[in-house]
Amino acid sequence: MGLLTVRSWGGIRNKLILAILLFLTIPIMGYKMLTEMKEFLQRGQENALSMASQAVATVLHNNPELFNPETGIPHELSSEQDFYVYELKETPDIDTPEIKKWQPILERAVNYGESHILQGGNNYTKNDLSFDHILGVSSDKRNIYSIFMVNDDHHLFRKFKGLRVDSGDHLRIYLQQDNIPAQNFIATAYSRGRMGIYRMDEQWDKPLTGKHDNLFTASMFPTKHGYLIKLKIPRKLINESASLSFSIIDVDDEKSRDIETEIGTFKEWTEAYLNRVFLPAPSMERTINAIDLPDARFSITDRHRRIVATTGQLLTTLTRDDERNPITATIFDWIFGSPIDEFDEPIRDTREFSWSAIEIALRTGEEQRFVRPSYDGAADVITIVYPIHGESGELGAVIAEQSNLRILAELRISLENAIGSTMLIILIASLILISIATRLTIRLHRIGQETSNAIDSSGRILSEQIVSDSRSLDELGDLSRSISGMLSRLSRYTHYLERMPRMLKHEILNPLNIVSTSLENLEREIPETASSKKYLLKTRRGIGRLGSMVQSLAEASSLEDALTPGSREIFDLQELLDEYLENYQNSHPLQYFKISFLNSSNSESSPKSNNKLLLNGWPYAIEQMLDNLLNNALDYSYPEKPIEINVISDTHNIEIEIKNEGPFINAEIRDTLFESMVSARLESNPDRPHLGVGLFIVRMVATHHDGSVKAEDRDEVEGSCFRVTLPLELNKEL
Amino acid sequence: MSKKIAIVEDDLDQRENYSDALRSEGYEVTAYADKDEALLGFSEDRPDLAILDVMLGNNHDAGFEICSELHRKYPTIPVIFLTARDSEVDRVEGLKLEAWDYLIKPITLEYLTVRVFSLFQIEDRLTNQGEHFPTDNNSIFGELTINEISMTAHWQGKSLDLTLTEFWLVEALVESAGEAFSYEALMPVTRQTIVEKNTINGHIRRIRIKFKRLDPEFNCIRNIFGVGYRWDC
Repeated sequence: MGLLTVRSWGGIRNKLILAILLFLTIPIMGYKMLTEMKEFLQRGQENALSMASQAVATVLHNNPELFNPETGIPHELSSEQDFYVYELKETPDIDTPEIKKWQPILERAVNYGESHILQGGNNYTKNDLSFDHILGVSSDKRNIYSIFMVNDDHHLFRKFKGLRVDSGDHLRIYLQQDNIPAQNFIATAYSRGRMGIYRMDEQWDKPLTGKHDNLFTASMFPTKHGYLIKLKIPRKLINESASLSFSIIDVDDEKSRDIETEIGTFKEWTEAYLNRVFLPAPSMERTINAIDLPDARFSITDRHRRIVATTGQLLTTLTRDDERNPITATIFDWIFGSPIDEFDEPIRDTREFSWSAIEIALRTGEEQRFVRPSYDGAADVITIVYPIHGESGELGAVIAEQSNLRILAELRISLENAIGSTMLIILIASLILISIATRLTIRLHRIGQETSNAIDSSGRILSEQIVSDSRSLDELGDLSRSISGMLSRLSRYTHYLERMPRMLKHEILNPLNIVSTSLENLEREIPETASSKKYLLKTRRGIGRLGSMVQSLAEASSLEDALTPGSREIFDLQELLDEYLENYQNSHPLQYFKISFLNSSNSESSPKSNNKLLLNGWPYAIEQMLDNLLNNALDYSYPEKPIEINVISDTHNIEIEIKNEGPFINAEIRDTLFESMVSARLESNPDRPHLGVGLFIVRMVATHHDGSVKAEDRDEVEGSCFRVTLPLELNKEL
Repeated sequence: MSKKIAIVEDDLDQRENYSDALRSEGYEVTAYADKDEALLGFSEDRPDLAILDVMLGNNHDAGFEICSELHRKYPTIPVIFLTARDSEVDRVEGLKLEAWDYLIKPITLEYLTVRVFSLFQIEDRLTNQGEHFPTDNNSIFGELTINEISMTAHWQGKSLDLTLTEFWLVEALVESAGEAFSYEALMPVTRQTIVEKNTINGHIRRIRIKFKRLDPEFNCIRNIFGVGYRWDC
């Protein structure tokens, strides 16, 4: 059983399947190659991007006037406090709550909340007050617009009665221009629509005049979560040294109308913290607008690291589904998720990432390049920072950014297609190989089966032909045919061995007869002396021995001749065995035989059984079979060891088991033990020649009785066990 | 007048040995080497006894052919087959041809002469007295009657057609009826040189068949398994 398991695991087919597993390394190697290709492509992309930024930088060289701002650029810039003014394509309408025209830049709005509380704010929650704010410049560049999207859980308009201008939720505007002290304005409203603008004193207590100030235009609209304030600022108010800041005042108590919370666009009431307004430099943008590199964004910073112009978008949109194999694409999407086919990152985030690289580039005047994961982590962003040289140091830097999404997508498709097609090929190849192997295994198994069935357990050749694959033209066909050839040669050989004693006997008998008869005549002729008598006696003994040898050689064939179907008779094997064993014991008084009968049909075990065991056959043949079996057992028995004879019968069969204690059956002849002229005896008794016919007779008799014989080593002691199984005559009435 | 014996044997040495031995016993011997020669000789001179080998040269059944030819011409001539062929088929064939004995080589010349002598004795009695043989030499064992002189046996009054060897075996078994005869003891009874268990078994089998032909109920010869045979009537 164990061997079978080992064989079934080590079978040809399984070995082949293991070999096929090696194919799986092909996609793995492909993946490795693609990874290297990705590195290579990315480096290429980097270089291309570097060249582009270098080109941009070259254009801008020694053009400091391009950096001249149209509006004020303050001395120092901090990311948090700067107002970036985005360009609006359409001029927004101040008198409607509509914010559609802001949509393209709305996502760049900055949120102000808890961190910017200037006063109040006890037990602050986000719903109390927070707002999103953004600045835009109209395309005609005449006005700067701003919107405040305020979250306020309790929106109050200004009270109609009373002079207080700050009795409702309102907007504070701080404006500082040149060296003029800061001017304070508030925008407040009684109801939906236009707001009143008042210039306030330094303490924000009272309006300086009772009149509306026309410097700004603002309107207020309640919204779902609070309200919306739209503000228009004349463009001319904003110059290089101007700073503009806002704060939103929340009034919640209808009676006291006290200021609950103030949240500003700055953090502290210090001049330095006031917001600076930065407007894009249009001439610069016009210059770089000509750059048309897909999916890339170019930004120009001045020497203060402020972005003065941007062009292009990081937005990468891929529509490559037509290039993907639908089957592999489905499988890959299922395993790894759908590929990202759109990528974008707003500019605001960029500056934070490149901040230090810009600093180094400006300081050293050398190109900086780095790859960083994108804000959302979906792709990598390749960033090149190239300094713009001027006569007096660096004027600024070109920042080129491009995502590697295109490379990733390309690789994904390549990988999908490569793996898909190799997998398909491997699958087909594996199926073909496995089916070939299976077929080979089955054919080999069939040949093996038939070969082992061609010879029975007692060595008799049952078939001289292997039918399986005998007509195949391949090596297995050759194998099958050569096995057939071997079998028929073997069969001829055994047949020859079986016939040889008869032929030999026939050939020897005539010369033996000559010698014997001549000797007799000679006896009569020569005078009888003591020595002549002696020699004649010796000669006669020799002839006798020769004759009996020939006779015993032919014993099997003469017995077989006698076993004609017509001479079959039904007899009681039980009676035969009882008598035979008793007589055998009597003729071998020194040998102990342990005899037991077991009839399994009535489970009776006794030395003698009264049941009839009817056998259809030849009693004297059975007798000779027993002779040979017992003689064999005796010959190979160690002295003074018992010989066990067990007769086990049921309704259909009888089994005669003869066990001795002696040497094991010689392994060399085990398979051919029951063949004619096979003997394990090394030394021979001259008076009883052993020619290896005895067990051949046993098998012949068993076969003639439709039975079988088997020899095996005993497990419990050293010895052998011969077991003859014969079918019984079923009709007990006979 | 001495008896004439014809020997047909293709082997010169055996032929001469038989001839010499029989001549020294006082018989007149004519020896032939093949079938044609023998048939020619028989047509000229009738032998009293023919000893035939079955296989002559390449003709495997020459002896049988000579025998049937001889019997056609002289139906009463006793024939002894003396051959190396001991197969059952050959024996049956020999018996069918009403041979008096079927001997397997090698033989002892002494036994051969004894047989020849016995045969002539039987023949003499048969020709002299016909079917009416004297009963004074009869030994009666139940239903079996044996005449030692004419070497004939009768079962239930009917004549048993036994060969010489078979007669001797039956005689031996009957004379010690009720006692087991071992194979070893039966062997010398056959008066043949080499006798194996199977030879005995074969003789007994043929004897039984001959008895059963007269009496299908015959069951007097019993196997003693592991020993031999016993007359049990």
